Amino acid sequence: MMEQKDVQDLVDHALKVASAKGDAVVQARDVLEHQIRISNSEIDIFKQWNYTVFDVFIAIEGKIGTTEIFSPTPKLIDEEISRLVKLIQSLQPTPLYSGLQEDLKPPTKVDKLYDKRIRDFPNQAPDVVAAALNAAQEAGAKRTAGSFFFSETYNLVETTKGFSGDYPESAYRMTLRSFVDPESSGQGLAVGRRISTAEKDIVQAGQEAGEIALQAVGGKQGKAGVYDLVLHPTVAASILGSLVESANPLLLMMGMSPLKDKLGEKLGPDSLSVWDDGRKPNGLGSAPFDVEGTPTQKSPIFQNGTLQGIIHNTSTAKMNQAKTTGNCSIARFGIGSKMFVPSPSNLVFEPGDASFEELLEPNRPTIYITSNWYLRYTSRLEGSFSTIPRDGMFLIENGEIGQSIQKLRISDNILRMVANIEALGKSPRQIRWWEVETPTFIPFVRIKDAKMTAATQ
Amino acid sequence: MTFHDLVQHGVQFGDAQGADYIELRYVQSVVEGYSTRNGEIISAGTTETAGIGIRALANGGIGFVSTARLKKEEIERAVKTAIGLAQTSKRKTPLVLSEEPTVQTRWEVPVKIPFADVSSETKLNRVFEVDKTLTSTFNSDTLPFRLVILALETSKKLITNNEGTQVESDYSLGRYLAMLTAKGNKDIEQRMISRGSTGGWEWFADPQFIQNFVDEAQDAKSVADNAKAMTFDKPVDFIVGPEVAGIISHENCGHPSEADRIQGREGMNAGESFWMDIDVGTTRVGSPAVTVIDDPTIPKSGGFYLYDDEGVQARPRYLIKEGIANEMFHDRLSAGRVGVKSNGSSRATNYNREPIPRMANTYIAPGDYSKEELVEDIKFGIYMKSFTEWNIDDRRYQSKYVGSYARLIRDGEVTDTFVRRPVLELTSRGLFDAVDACSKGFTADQAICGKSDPSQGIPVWTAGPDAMRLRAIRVGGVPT
Repeated sequence: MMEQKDVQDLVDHALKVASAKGDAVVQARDVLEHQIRISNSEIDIFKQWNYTVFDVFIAIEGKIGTTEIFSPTPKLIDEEISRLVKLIQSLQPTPLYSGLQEDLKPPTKVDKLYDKRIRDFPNQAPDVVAAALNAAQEAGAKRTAGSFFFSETYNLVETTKGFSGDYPESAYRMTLRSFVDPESSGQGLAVGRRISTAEKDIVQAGQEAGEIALQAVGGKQGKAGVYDLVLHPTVAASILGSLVESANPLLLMMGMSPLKDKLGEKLGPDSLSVWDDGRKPNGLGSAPFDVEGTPTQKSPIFQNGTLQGIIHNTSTAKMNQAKTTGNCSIARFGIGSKMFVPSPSNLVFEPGDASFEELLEPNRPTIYITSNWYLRYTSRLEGSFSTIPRDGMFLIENGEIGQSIQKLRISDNILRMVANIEALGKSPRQIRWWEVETPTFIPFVRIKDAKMTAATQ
Repeated sequence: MTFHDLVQHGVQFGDAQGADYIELRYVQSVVEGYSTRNGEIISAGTTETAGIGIRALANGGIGFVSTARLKKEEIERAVKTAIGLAQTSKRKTPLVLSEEPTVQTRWEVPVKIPFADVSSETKLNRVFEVDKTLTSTFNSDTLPFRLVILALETSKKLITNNEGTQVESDYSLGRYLAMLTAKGNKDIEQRMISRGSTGGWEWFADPQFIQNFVDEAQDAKSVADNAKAMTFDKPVDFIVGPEVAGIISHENCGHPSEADRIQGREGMNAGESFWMDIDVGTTRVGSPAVTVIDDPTIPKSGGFYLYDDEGVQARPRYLIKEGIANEMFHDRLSAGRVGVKSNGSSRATNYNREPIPRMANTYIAPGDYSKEELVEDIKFGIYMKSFTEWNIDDRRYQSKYVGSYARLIRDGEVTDTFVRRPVLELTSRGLFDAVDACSKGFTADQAICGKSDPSQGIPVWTAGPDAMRLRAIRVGGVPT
């Protein structure tokens, strides 16, 4: 990684060059990241990425553009900004920009963003992987696959409105998938920033993957129909999180959200309260400030089932007569370009008071789903969608996990499912993996009357 | 040092450090993007990257390091680190690469009008032209949301390894993605479209570029105006168009025939494959009417390449031949595991990603019939030209395709009755067994195929004949 002073000097240079043209933001990330990929209970590849990247945003008379500069040097910065300015001058003003944050306030203090033990972790990581694989095997797995990322990042943001802030962060995320046979599998995951507890969490993830895989053995073809569902936090984050993520002005204005014109409407039960919380301790989406320098905050999206708010940056807040929620980001959009738009930080669901056992109690046909993938919408405006359970899926029989079942699909509507939330568990987990990109703190959730379909031939 | 010197030095340095295999892949890439929403620009920018991806095989393990700091000392550090990471893997089953001929060559995508020679005003005006045409042909109440994204990608690549292979290439791909929302008398229909071609700006300059949007918007409007929900108590015949046949070829055949999935290497993320349970070369996975080919060498295609990212020459792969599983996608790593040769399937999205087995241009092979001949033989059925939602399980066996533009077929003719969102919810075997004929013709859609972790969205074509007929399908999507 670079010396922080060198990053600072380069960012100062970039901002000076950019500020001669208009409003500007420079976001620097100096990253050392590793990944270990695993299959058949062995390490397939051990990777390292060591890079410095600047995202530069410039606004000139309402016209905006971004560029991404890897391995910046003063010469490269000059060239890239010159090219960006030329591009911006050829464009037309955009409705998505109306100025940067000017009311600067001290950054939010966020606990547990950085653990210095990340420095030694690359040497320890293969042993941690071995311990997790061992735990999976002891729990019943015949073979285990996995993906283990861990990283250290130094972040620095400066704006032409006078904001300058920096912070280091550490992060890890391990996903493990155990198999007893090709059709009997289970997943476990461990996500966080604190390296001191990482090994314990990761070993536990291995154990959970192995246990679910073993329980899944002997799975029978599930029968299509209407069931109550008990969703593992991994599944709840994917399905319910997809609705909360769509409380985003960009998605609303593009016709890609079922929440259009629903602000203030009661869409779920009283037990449903969800925040976008950019300062959640240990959250992988946490940060002290956004790219405009606005302190991050805890913003209500749903309160007692009512759609209470959407996330904003300064510009979208002005468009909607609202206040920024500290969610401004320079986010990838489409292919090749980035946008200066609000992005979610951590989605935090208010836990309920039900134990896992209590969620299984109601005497109605019920399925427990431990993982899912491939969620696709038929219509993003309507919210009709389907997604495929994978890994262990079980019928609930007499209030307990019963027969393992397979090959069913949730084919429903997200608004109907949210309205049908019956209970939330009391122990939330942080979910972030391949299928869930926004870190989501969510417990087990029970949803009534969900539609399950199956292949017809 | 030039990038040629850097990669050459890196290979020699890695060889001297004791790597069993060392490969350096330099990629310089420029991606331009222009996005409009309802005729207003919402995003524009360029991402330019240049770096080297290093893959080392040592002590039976593989290490991968990428760097964008193009200095001799940094390349030496990165090579040493890659070898060190490989050694710490401590595998019980050593990894080996298949033996392949070494090659020194270069290839390029033929380009008439380079993207760099076209001003950004011209590029953006072409996107504005799309919106102007749409709003003048229809109106903004009929199409309340119109999102158009233009992406132009060029790259220069040099692949070298310590076996003596050196492949240099120049690549250029233009594509667009659009989402049109049509509001009709009965419903709202959202239509996602994606097309692309290797080459230069000439592809966008073609009048057909704009016409495609008009045709797609008309289809979406027709659906929103006319589609009626129907239930089907008995099995019906289906004719599917090239868009549907193309996605089927990709999802139900292409993905399950990727050797790394079959060997379990994608077990965590993209998943494994039902092809794990069959004998490739003898097992029937569909009717004799089904042949699925993947061919990276089709000129102008969206998945075009002549040498893969391990320097192996590309060739057509016959994945299913007349219903029999015939061939899987191999890179040198998956081929080495089972003692066969690579078929040139190794692809990486950029210098900072490892190359893995990927599709290129996957399609259902055309037959000898006309589309009309296939329809003639249907007493009662559904013509499903396009699809909206789709998904498939991670063993690539339980698939679902929801129809978008779909019309009823009666007594050998496609009627004016639109069917609202008919669902093909079928196993891969159930689907391919039901195919009894394919028509002539070949139409391709550009797609971004997602796989691996970190995800590598790679450009591919999915394609099919004008019509593919499936007999006696029980329409899905309804809980019973």
